[in-house]
Amino acid sequence: MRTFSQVYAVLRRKSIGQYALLTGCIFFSALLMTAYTCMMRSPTILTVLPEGGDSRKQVMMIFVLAVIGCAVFTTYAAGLFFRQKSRETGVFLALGASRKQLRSELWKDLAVISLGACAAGAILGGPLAWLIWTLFRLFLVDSQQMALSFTPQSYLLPLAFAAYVIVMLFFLCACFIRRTNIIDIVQESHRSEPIRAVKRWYGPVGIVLLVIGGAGGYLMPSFFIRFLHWYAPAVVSGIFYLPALIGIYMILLHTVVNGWHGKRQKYKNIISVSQMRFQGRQTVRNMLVMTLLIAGAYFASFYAPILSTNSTYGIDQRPVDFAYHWRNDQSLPQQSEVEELAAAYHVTITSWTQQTAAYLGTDGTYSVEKENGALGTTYSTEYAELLDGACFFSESAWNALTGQEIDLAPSTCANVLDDDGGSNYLSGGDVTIVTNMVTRKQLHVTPAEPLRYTMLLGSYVLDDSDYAVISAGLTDLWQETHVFFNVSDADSSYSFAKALFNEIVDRSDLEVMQLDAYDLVSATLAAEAGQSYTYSRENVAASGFPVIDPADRNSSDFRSYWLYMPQFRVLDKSDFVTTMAVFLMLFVFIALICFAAVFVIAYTRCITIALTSRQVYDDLRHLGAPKAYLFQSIKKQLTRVFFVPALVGTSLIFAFYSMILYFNDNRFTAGEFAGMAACVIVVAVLSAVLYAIYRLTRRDVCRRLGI
Amino acid sequence: MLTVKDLHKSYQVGNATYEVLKGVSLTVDEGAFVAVMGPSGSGKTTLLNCISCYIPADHGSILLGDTELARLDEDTLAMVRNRKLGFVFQEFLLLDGLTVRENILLPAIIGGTVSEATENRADQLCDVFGIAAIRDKYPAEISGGEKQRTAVARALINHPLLILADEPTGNLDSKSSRAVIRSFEQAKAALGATIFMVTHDSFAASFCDRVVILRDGVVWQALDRGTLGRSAFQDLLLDAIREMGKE
Repeated sequence: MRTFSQVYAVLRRKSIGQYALLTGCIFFSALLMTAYTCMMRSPTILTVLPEGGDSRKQVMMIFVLAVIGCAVFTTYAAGLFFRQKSRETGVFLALGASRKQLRSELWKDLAVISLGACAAGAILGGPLAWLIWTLFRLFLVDSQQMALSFTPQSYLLPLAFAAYVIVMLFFLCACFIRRTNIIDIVQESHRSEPIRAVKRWYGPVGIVLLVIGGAGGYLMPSFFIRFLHWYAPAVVSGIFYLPALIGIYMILLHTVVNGWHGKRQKYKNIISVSQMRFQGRQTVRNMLVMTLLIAGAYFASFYAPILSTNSTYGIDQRPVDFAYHWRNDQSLPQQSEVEELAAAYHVTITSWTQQTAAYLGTDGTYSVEKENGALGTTYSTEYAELLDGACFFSESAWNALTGQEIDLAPSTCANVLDDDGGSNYLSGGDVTIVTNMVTRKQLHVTPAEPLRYTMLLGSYVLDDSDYAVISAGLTDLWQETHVFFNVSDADSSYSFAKALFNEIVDRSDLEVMQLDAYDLVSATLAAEAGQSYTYSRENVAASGFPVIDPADRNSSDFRSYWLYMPQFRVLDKSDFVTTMAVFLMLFVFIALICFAAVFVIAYTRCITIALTSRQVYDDLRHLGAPKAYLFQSIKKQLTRVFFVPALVGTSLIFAFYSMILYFNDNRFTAGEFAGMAACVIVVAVLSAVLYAIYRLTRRDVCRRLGI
Repeated sequence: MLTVKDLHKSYQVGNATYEVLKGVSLTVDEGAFVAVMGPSGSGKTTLLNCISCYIPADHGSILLGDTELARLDEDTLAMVRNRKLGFVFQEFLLLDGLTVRENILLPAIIGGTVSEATENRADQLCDVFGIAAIRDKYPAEISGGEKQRTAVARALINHPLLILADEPTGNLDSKSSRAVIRSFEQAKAALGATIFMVTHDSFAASFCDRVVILRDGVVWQALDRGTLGRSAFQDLLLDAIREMGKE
């Protein structure tokens, strides 16, 4: 061994673990990112999540969080790598090595690590995507549309990530080498970071701030809208979340510096508390990043269980197997045609109910908005006798469709809520004037007790005589037909349901291919006033939102937002699994990346604690501390690093989801409770993984400290 | 060999400034074994770190032969550290991944001057300092005294003009301390090495030709051993320290 490079090679072999950790982190990030982008470019995902759609935006938003997670954990791993290199670098410098020599050797190492790990990750990312895809096809969903294909675009993001890794590593390397004070480098692994005294009220005040910030951030925009008639700019709304962030920081700081045990336990935990106190700032910063990543990971993890449990529950609760409706100027399959189709698929129709409804104009209040530049938008409300439209049933049609037996008084009108009596934001029940859009005849009504029926949510019911009067003279354009039917074996009727769905879509004109926000009355009024209508296909397309396109009939946007989307239990359940499988697959990936980032940050922090505490534990051993005492002391530090962010992050996201679900319609439904229960299971599984990683880390730390 | 003139160094801690060296001047002749003693906080280690150019001095000059160290650029300074200075640290600072022999050769490897002759010299140094039997062992497998003797051998591999030692016996038991001091004596006698050692151990200092005592950042007293025996010189040192305590 005669050259510096040879010495470096020997030392590299001896500290292979440091190299393996950094290489592994970069490889893991590149691997997951490549696999993810490969899947995102596949035809199935592009169909289920069309460009510009809400679902695609949500997936991309959380993916951005995961990419940040990857960037964070590779940066932490790089930080630990250089920290572990500091001693030998210090010795080299002290013995007269030039910075040029050290830079050259480190650059060679970093080039091999970054290029090798990124290339390996990118190469194996494709096969990993294929493997996961195959497993999903094998165990969850298998259909012709579940095809995976690889395009060069799949590799753009991993390429950008590789560029980030290379720049980050070489930048950190340059900073590391540039440090001029050899003494600091030699002693770096023994350096502690002081922290200012933290008062004991930090913890309780932090909790209060967290609650105030969380509630304020979520509720203040609604408060502004409702009471001040002000759509505040996003920055103003965002400010209300700030106390929550400050609160989290204070809680973590208090936990690290003071602990929650009070003065009684002061001497019991004196070593662990004092050790944490002197590494406070960096530890708290790490824990804050971990908390946010855990919250992000759970946000991704909860999406599929909440949505699937809630929706599956809702679909199961439907009283009929098949329901569809059409505008009467459309030529859709009638009973005889449907029965023929059913027979072709060996499906027996056991009941058939078909009723006509009227699409009538309603009165109401609307907002007149005023742009105030940077201050946002204010609005005032004005009343209009003819504002928009809704579907109206006669009470006899209603009774025939739903099996209920209602008898409304003349001149009253009942709005329809969901089965639990909620969702009144979709059916306000404040209609007092109903208008026939052909004859412009008006009917004055008073609101009656709301009805409950989720499948017809948002419609209204009139007394039979009122209905006959007001609907007289309506053309087909203003009438709808609603069909409810059951089959003998609903679970085996998927092919029939699919065929009927395709038939309905194929026979619907382009003019009924509208978003569910589209309203024929509003569109007509806008046309009469010579104005363009917000939800016309042209305006929707011009706003950059996806228009309802029969070619996208299998996308989640089409299924969720088509105005005349049929409700076929077997189809919805089965296709929901496909859509959910895709969401699940993507969110599992994102959660995986976020959790990987959390594990690496927690691991690197714990190893740093081990490096900085070595001398202290040697001294304690010399003072006669038994192994059990030392073990308890280090265990307390490690449990804080691992479990405080987990506890805070999990509680945060549970509270956040609860708020979203509750304030959606000021209640929790049974489906939402079931969804939250599914999330508890997800938390239990992931917590078990976190605990396993904690145990492995604890073992490593104890080994390093000789405990 | 080494001339330090009017050296000043202060540290900033928060808003407070602590002046650690307040105009230290001293000389070390070629072939001399000089120790710097003084109570904690007197500036011993800071003085050594300034001489090693690990930290920059605020004011004053450090001449190694005719070379003003403060004026050197980074690459030349690295070369001076590698070729003209040898270092022995209290914490040994051996690389755990290299054997004893490889650690000794490290300055030559860094300087790119390893040859058969250098390897022979490493073996000779192992013999001189009694570590030949452990030369293929790793630092984790040897005692503290052996580690420090390895560090002394490492400091000598490049024939330095001056060995700078920071509390070389600070982490050692008395037997190991004696072995390390003996290795310095051997280096001086057999290899003509010049040694500048910071210590608070009067026993270690009593082997030196000259002891400079620092107090509060200035040279309080410099004592020459002259013809005194080691034991008598140690008594003289202890008397001086006692006297310093009275003031």
